[in-house]
Amino acid sequence: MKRIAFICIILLGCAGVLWAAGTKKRKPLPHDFGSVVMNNYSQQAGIPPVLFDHWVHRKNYTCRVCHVDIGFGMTANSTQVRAADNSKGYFCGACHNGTTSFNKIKIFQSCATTYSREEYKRCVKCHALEKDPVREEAFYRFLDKMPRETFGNGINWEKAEDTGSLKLVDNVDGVSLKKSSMKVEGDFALKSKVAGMPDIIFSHTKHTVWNGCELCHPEIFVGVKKGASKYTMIELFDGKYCGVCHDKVAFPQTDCKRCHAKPVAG
Amino acid sequence: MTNWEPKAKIATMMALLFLTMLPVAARSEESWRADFEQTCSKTSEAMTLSVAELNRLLESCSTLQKIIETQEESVRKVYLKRLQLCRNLYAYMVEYKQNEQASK
Repeated sequence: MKRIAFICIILLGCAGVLWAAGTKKRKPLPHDFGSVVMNNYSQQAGIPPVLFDHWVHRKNYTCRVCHVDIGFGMTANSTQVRAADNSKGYFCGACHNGTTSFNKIKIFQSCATTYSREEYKRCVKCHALEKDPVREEAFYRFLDKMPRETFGNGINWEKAEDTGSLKLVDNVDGVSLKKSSMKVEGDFALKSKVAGMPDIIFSHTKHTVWNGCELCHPEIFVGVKKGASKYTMIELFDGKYCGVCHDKVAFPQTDCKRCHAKPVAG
Repeated sequence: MTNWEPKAKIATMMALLFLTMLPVAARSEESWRADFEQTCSKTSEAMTLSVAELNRLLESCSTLQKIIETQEESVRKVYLKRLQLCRNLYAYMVEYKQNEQASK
C-alpha cells in the first residue's frame, strides 16, 4: 500500500514539474532578448520573416529615431511595413538605402522589387531562415565591451550611454526634424504600494535621452495630473505603461531595484 | 490646312500646360513637408509653449492631416503616424496646462 502511495506521489510530482515547464514563460537568452519577428507580408511573398535584433540598432541610435522620426509602431503588427515602403526610402529604407553611412560604413540596401540570385544573399541578412551563429557571436563580442547587468541581455544600457561607451545618434539626415534643445521635467518619486518596498524614482532625464516626449506622452502615459493615475504591477507585467518597453527591450521589470530605488528612511 | 495641325496645336498646348503645372505640384509637395517640419519640430519645447500656441499648432496638424491623407500609401503611413504622435503630444500638453491652471 505504502509503495503505491509513494509511486502516486512521484507521478504527481513529475506531472507538476511537466505542467510548470509547459506554462512558464521561458526567459530569452541574452542575445535573443528584444528580438522581434516581423511577418506581416514576408511569408505571403515567399520569403522568410524578418528577424529584427533590437540590440544591433540600439547600440547606435536612440529609440526615438526609429519609433518617432521613422514611424515604427511600438506594438507588434502595428506598422505593417511592406517591401515597397522600404524601397521608396521609408521605414527600414530610411537608412538601409545603399547610400546612407554609419561610421563611414555604407549601410546595406533593404528591399527591392526585383532581385537576382546573387542579391538574395542581401535579402537573408534580415529575412533570416534560421538563427545565425555569426549574429550571436557579434552580440557577445559587443557585450564584452559594455557595462554589465544581470537581467535582460546583460547590458546596462543606461550606464553605457551615461559613461560614453555608447554614442547614440538621434537624427537621420532628411528624415529627422531640426529641433531645439529639450526642457526636461525633473525626477519624481512614485509611492510603492507594498510595505517595506522602496518607492520608485522615475527619471525624466534618463528616459528623454532615448525617447523624447511624444513616444511616452500620451501614447503610453495618458494622465495629466501627477499622482492621479495608479499603476499596478499586474498591469505592468501585462505590457501596459512601463511594460510597453520594460521586459520587451528595456531591462525587465523583475529587476526590482532598478526602479524601486528610493532609499528607505530609518 | 492638313488634318493633323489642330491636333498638334492641342498636343503642344497640353504639353505646355503640363510643364507649367510641374513646378506647382513640386512646390505644393515641398510646402506641406515644410509645414510638417515647422509644426512637428516643436515637440521638444512643448512644455514651454502657451495654450494659445499649442492650439495654433493643433490647427496646423488638422490642416496637414487632410493633405497627408491624399498622398500615396507609404507617405501616408509614415507621416500620419508621425503627425499623430506630435498632435497627441500637443493636445496632451493643452490638457496638462489647463489642468494646472485650474488647480491653482
